[in-house]
Amino acid sequence: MIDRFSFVNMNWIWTILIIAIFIWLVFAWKERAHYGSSKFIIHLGVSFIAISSLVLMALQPQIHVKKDTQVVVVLTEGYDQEQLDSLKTTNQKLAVYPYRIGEAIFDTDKIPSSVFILGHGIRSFDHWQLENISTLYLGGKELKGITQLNYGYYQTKGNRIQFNGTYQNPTKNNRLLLEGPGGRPLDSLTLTDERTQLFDLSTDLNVIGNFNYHLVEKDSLETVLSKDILPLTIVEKSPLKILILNDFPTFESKYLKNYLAETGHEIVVKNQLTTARYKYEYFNMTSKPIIEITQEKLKIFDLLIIDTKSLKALSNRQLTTLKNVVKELGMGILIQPDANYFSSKKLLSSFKFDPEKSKDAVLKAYPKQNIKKYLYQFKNDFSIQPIHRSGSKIWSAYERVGSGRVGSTVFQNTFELILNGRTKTYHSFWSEIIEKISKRKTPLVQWSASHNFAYQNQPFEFELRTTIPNPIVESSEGYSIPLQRDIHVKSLWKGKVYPRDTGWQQHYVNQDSTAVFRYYVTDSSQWKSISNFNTIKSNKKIFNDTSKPEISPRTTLKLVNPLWFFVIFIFCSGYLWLEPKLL
Amino acid sequence: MKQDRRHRLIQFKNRWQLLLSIESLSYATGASVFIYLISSHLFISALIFVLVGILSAVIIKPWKPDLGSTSRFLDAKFEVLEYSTSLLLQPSQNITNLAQLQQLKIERELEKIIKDTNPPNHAIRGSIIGLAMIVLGLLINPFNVIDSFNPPNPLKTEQKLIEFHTYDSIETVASPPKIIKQRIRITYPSYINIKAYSSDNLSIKAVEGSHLRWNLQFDKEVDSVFTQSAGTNYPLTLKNDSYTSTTVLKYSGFYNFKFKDLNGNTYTSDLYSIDVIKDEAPEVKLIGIDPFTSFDFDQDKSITFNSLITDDYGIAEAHIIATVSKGSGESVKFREEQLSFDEPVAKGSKKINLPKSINLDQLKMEPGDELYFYVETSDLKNPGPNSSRSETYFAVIKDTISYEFSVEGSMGIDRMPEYFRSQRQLIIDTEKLIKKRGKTAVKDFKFESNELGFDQKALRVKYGAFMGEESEMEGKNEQRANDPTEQQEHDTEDPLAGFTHDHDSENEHNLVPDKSKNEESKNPLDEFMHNHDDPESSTLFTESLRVKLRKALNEMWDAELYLRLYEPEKSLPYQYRALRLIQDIKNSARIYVHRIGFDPPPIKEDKRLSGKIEDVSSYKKSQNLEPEVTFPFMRKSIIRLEQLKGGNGTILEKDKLLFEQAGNELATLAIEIPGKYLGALQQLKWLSEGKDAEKSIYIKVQQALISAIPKPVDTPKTRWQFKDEMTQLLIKELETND
Repeated sequence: MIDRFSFVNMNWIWTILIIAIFIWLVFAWKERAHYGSSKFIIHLGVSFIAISSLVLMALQPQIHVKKDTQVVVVLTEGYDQEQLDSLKTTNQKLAVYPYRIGEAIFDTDKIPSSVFILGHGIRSFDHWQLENISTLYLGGKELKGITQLNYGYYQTKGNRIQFNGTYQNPTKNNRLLLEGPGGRPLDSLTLTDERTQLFDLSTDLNVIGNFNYHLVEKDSLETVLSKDILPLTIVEKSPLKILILNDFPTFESKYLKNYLAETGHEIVVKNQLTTARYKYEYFNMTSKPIIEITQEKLKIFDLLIIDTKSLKALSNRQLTTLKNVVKELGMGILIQPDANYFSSKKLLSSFKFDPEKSKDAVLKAYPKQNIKKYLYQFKNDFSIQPIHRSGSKIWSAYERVGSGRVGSTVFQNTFELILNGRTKTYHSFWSEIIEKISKRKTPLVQWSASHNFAYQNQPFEFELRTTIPNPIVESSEGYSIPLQRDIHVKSLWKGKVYPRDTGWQQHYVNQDSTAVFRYYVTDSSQWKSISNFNTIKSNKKIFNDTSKPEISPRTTLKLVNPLWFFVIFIFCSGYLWLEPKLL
Repeated sequence: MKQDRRHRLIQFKNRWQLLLSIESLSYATGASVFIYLISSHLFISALIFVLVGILSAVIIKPWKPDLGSTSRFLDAKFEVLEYSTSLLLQPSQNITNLAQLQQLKIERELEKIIKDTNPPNHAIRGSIIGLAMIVLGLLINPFNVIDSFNPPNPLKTEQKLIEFHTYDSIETVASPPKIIKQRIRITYPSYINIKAYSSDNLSIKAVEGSHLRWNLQFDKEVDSVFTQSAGTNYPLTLKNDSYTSTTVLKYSGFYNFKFKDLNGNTYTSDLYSIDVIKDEAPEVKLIGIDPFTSFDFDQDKSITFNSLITDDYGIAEAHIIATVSKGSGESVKFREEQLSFDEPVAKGSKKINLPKSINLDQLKMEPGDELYFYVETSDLKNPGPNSSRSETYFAVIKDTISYEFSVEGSMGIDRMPEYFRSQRQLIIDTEKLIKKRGKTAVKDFKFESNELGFDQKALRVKYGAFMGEESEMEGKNEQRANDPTEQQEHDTEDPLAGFTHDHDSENEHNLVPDKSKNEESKNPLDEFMHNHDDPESSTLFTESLRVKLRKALNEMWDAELYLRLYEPEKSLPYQYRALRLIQDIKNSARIYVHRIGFDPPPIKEDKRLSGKIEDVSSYKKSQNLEPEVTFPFMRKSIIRLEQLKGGNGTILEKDKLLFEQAGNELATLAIEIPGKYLGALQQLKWLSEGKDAEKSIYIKVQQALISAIPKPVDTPKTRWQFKDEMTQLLIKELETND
């Protein structure tokens, strides 16, 4: 019961009590003439009541009152009027509140006991407003438009970027176009009348820079229905450092070396000429490092391409070194097989091969182009990662060794592709193998964000992984942004910003100004259907969670009207004043 | 009253005539309106109106119906009139009372009938057809059908004066200098029969080698005027108040004008294109001839054909280059002749058709000779005329005595001895003999057949010698060998024999038996045989060869048999089979030649890689193959334009330079595909002059630049992956559990 009571001016309680007791004592001293009589007792009693009323007037008592259950409807974007009307008929006293993103929904004294949410819902960063209120999310109109979109906003020149997504309730024969920064259509597809349509648009990235691509929906009359932004950051590709060790020169290595060198990679080729005599070729290298199988010399390389004979010629110590370099430094090794490789003991890797009949294989990516191979295929083992395969047959694969990778292939004489004029196939064939096996470089700072773009005046969360001990992230205006370190992963930091301006924004780490994080801020008109879809998802998850504990009925504190105390005080003081005069 | 009586008929006749006139008029109107609608040509349509009007009037003859025909028509149509309408035409005083009565009756009847009667006419049909033509014309009109037949009219161009923009002046000039006269004079090369002309359209399209002269006149004095092309300035010289410059067209490209006024402000014009039309080489086509013609020696050996020569600016000359080849192999001789066409070449014409007939006999060709010829033509281009030639055509007079060589291949000469061919000769002679049957006396026929049989025998015996067979023909051979002509041949064959060691001869290994041996020894095969008496043990040929030779000999036996029986027809199949077998044997000999290649001795494994290698040193080579970035300035411009597009700042001095360099890069592409890049190039030029443009211009230029940049070569890229504690832990876990 006591917890039902409280005073507004609780801080003054001692002062007021002392003053009150003092006044009461003064009164008692004044009444000493009646001491011993019943009058004295009565007077003391009445004065106590009067002073108590004064005290209570000063302290302003308040009581917890159980509130009447007030039900409220919050209308968010995309609510259904019919749904609202039917709710109103069941509950006449229903109050309706509109929701504006980022603004308070209720006044502090009018917090309702239970809330219905209609429409696409309340943004996750506004969910705190509904904490401790029993809430039911009822949904709204069905979404129409792109609800999911997936692409990497940070790309390397020469990549082929893919935009995958889902379109809900498409209009048949409308077209979805991918437009480049200059508004040139790059890819397109026609929408069908399925309920949800998956789409996949792609384009080649030829130029570096920060660009805004657009996804445009047009109807059959070429009217633009929607145009949503796709910010992209395209950076120059960084070359690989590759070492090729061959027992004798082959055409396969020669063509591979030429291709890699001509596309700007740093290549060292060591070919045996005769006993203890080698031919060293350095391509695109400023220095000429000595080639030895030691951890020190190998650490600069991202990939080692070695033929079977050279591999067999390595001493045990060299093999151990190689293994360590792969394991610890993450270097990749590509073993060029010869006919004996498949049946002999495998060094460095645990590949197993099965004999296979066909002399050449066709890959799905390059139909109608036969590539010669040995009469083997990889045995599908759980440890190997296929690179090239057709159906269940694996032609090229790698396995992880520590933080590095060791790979091989059953293809041979792939240079014939070039001789047959299939240069592009040759390029993409080897690009795939080499890229997958090469060392993964560790950036000093790696940025990531949950979304590919930020909305103006809405929180945007980002993460950075860095080995810098205490990174300080600054915005381009020079403000530092507070970071929160992950509890478990020490190198992971999180930050949150509320971007004010639209356009490209950037953050950088104070300790390393090259580590720049660029992101694009748009206004909230962009990608509405996606943000609505995500809002619906989070609303359903948070508010319709039946496992949540029942919220206790809400009470409110009510001030006891001081007039009551005043009336008591007047009566008491009136009695004390009149009593000596009348009696 | 009289008047009254005829009145109805006259009225009817007039109506008739009117309706016929309407019909012919509606044809004429319909046709003329139709023509006007599709051609918009008033005169033609008026002409059509008159013509069709007259034509239809002649056919329909609207003047034809008169009162007589009217009454005849009415009489024929209505029985009630009792064939008496003509009575109405006659004055009533002149006729009988009865006739008068009838007249009255008919008049009454006629009055009843005539209102509902129409004269025979097609006025409705005519007006419908006329209307239909008008509607058709209206429908066709929007498509401008007639225009597609007409060559497009040269558009009347208003004189469009060069528009200059100034970008870098700080104060706006109150009245900048203006062009008051611009002229470009294009003088074509003299060989092209096109007069020089002047134009005020500064985009030039002219033939290579044309002479250009620009002429610009300003309303105020200016400091200097230039033309700019590919980043270079060419000043114009002031002459008689106007600036002129001349050049000779060589390459396609773009140019613009730039001038400086007296205050130092510069003004730049739009870009103008220079489109150089190449003078193409003439084309030659030979008509009415196969690439390969052959004649029998007794045929009429003449070739007739037409050559169609076309050129864009005129043909200068054309002739035929004919080469006659005589003989074959090493003794081939060539004779080249230049022949002219039967008709002279009209110099300067663009298309000519020249006939020619070549008689091979006139070229002194004999059987076996070949004629190669082609037509060569050149155009009028000066200097350095374009010339072209047709494909080469062949004509051959068949050589009746030619035979197939099958051995020479790479040897250059026919090395097979004479008697290997004799089987073929025998076949030819046998065939000749068969043809002669019935024409010659039986005795002669039998004699020849017998002779052939003898030859066949001689041949068999010669081959038999290889098999080691005893020869009954030795004496004969000897006799032949001693024949003085034969002897001489041997002498000439190898005059150096006495001085050389015989290993060098082509027949060193006695691949084929040497005839000369016959002279020295009784048995030419002495040296090769182990056993003279046993033909089966001869080791000269491999087993299969011997079998084949044996078979051939057997065939020859049979061939000889039938020849001797005077049945050459039956003998022929055997002879053919023998020939095939002999050829097979020759081919085996050839295979044997192939077999003698270099066969290195096997290397001992332990000797490998054991040579001295002190002088061999390791070899280092360094090379930079890094590809150069293509279009670097265009790439930079794209990034800069993206910033400008976002409204970040204005064009700075360094941007101008950047855009200019990008423009030069783009110009190299624009020359190839002007339609695609010319607009962007123009706008880039403006930007490089510092004109602050709207966003849409930035977008357009950027789009063109992006689309101009080629796709990079597919190449592996570095992948970036952050290695944090969790990944490292995971890897470790994986390893320990591996």
